[in-house]
Amino acid sequence: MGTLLVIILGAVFVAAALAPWLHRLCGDRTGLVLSAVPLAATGCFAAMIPRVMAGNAVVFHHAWVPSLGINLDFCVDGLSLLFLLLISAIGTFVTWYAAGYLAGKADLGKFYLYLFGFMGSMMGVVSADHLVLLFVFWELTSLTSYLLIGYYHNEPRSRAAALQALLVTGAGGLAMLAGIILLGRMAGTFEISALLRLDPATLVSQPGFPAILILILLGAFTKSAQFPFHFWLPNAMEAPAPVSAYLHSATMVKAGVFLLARLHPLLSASPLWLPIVAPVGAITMLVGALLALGQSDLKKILAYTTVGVLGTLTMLLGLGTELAVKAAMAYLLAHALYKAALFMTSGSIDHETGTRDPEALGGLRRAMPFTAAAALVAALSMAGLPFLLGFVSKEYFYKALLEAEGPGMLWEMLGLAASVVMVALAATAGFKPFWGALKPTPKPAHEAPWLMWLGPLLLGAASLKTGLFPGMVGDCLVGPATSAVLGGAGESVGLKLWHGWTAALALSVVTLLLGAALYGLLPRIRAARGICRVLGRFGPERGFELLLHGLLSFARWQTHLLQNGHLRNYVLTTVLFTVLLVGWMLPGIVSVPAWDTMVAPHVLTVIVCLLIMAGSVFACVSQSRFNAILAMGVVGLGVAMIFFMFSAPDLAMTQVLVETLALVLFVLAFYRLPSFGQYSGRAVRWRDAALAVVFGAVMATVVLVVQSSHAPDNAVSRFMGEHSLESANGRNVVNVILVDFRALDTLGEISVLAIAALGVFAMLRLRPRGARKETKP
Amino acid sequence: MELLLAVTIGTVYAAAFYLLLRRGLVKLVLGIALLSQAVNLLLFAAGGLREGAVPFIAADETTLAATGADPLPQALILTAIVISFGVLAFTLAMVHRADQSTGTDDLDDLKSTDAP
Repeated sequence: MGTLLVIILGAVFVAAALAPWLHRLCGDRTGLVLSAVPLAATGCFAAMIPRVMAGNAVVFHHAWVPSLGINLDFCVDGLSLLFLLLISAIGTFVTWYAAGYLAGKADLGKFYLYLFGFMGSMMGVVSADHLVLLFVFWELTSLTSYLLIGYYHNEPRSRAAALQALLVTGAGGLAMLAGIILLGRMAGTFEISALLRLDPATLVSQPGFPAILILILLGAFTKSAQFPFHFWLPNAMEAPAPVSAYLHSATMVKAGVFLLARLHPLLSASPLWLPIVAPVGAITMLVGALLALGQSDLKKILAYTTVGVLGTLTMLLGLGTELAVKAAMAYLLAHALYKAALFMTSGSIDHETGTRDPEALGGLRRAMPFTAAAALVAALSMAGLPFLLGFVSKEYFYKALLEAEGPGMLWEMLGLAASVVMVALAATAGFKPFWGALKPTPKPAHEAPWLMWLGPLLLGAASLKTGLFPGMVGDCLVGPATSAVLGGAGESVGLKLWHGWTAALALSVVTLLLGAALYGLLPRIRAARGICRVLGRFGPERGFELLLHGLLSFARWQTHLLQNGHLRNYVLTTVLFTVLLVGWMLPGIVSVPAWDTMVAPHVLTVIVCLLIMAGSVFACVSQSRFNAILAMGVVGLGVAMIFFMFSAPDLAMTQVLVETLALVLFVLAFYRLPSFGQYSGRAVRWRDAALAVVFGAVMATVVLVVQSSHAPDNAVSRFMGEHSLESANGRNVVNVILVDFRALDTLGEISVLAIAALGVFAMLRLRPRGARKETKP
Repeated sequence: MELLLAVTIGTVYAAAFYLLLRRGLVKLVLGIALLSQAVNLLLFAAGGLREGAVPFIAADETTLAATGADPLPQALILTAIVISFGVLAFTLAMVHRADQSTGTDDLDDLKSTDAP
């Protein structure tokens, strides 16, 4: 079965790669064809349920980079299976939905490429059994999410939101990578199942563990949009509705929650777990709920409630009792079912009426009966009405909070407040647009194509079925997931619809009543939504913007400083650092030969050297181009003399030829060259001269060092000297080297000359079209 | 002799560097030409200086005498001389063309990709 899992993963990625091509072939039917893949995957994952229920994980092992201990390990236990089923089933519905929602778009093939790339990556995240592999898939989900949020890439807002999501989750991902590496090194293994088998107490007591915990939590919190990183998620609503439904409510944003759950047996052993995770979750829950109240856009409302739910899940995992974990798993399943449906129905409303403002919508149930039905069921589940999974999960939520230790009734009150808001907003999203009097909309409303209501309707049916018979889903999914999160400790007790007359039930009833009251007050609250905007101005998003702005300004400043566009400054910087570094090293290695050991130079050598120096200096100070070129000739011929005097006749001959040619070239170009201008001021010239003298002194020392450290006998030269006559039949060894031993080098040299000649020809002869016209008046 | 040659090479380097720091395009070309002379000389000096010991195999020998000058650096320098000539020709043509197209040889006016 492990192989089957890998085949499914491969099939999803292959489907992604084939999508653009398939779209060219099938047009708008692509979505239906492609949806066969996640549909089949759903079936395969469902077939794994009995095995996982029995406590046997599906595993696959393949060595990837054995030298680094990185393997392609996959392991599907209860937690993974719950996620895999959500990803594949909702993925099927979303593919259908996208086929309707984005019908006729030219780049739909590209969209499916991203969407299936995401689907495969997400499946990889939840089934990977190796921390590095998990990270690779984790980052892939960030990347595909970036591409999907920015799908409407002509919209600047869309691009900005995509970039923001990528930066926030990417930064968290980097922190997580650091945490993973530290954890793997500390524990000696990157394999997750092996890590969880270790004794957590010994790991947690290591001094570096708090850093690991915080780094990994940063990754989870950014991905799951926890406060203060929550702001990217509502902005990501610039994405098309199917993307929002899939990535930003049902699956990707839960990857952070998944990571917390996956590593729960290990990380929760730390004394820091409860005081960090539970409060962050609670704050996120409240912030999400409060900010959602002020929104006047269906998608934004749903986005902020998603933030709130992610906070709830994090809080429950932070509390970490068996009941809390079970509540988290049930809540997660219930939320995925209803929120994906609501995102899709709100997208349908937008698609068919042209507006997403709940105030402008009403009475759509006659025009859009199927969408209305799906939205109603989903909203009822969100509100937590009996006989829906939302009710069951809320019961367990309250039970877990009632059981949790904490100051007074704190957890219960926080949970109640958030749940009350959920009820009111569920009515806003799933009830208000469809009931009451029909309101005129920008586009006359009509039912969406069947592709767009079938998925939400099936999701609604799933909420209803699991709500009516929670025992089954409890045994099959929630139970095994809970025991996986608790490290196999928890009993896989199923869910129950009826618990008797308990405090949790009382809280549920109070929630519904207060929620209904709040719904009545909503128009008045929205009138005060200016407060939300003011809060937004000082919120963490503002901090993110400032940080980004500062980073960009800094980058501009230092680029301007280092890459100022002045060639001479680059040369100056390079030479200055060379001088400093070489000057730093030289005193250690230099052994200046004693004066009396030096050979006194021949008088001719002295004259030639003086000529070279004079020519060089004169070329610098001369105000006339002609004199400077002559001075260059003097230097060149002087160098030729040096070659000649020190046993290099070939070099001398070449140098004389080349110098003559160069002089001819200079003189030919002479009348065309621009005349010397005096551009730099006196101070700059003196500064440059001083620097040049320092540089010259360093180079002179280098020459002294290399001369004294020259090894007289090197094997390569000796080989060439010995074989020159024998193998190449030549007595002039330099020539033999050039045309025989290193003939390819010489060929390369000739090619360089040919290319240079072509370049010269092109520059002198060819004119851009515009310039040619100018010369022909 | 070593000292004399070291000072000479240092002076050529200094002059080349000074010319490379100028704003005028022609001086820059002169600096490049001088720099290649300095580098060739440095390589030559690093290969060891011998007088009257050309790297030829004598008529009655079959191998190069151990006292002969090292042929390898000479072969490398020979290549370098020819290449630097190619570079010089290319640079001269480019300067000429730049002057024609832009009418200036001040490098500060040639900073942007748009012609003034």
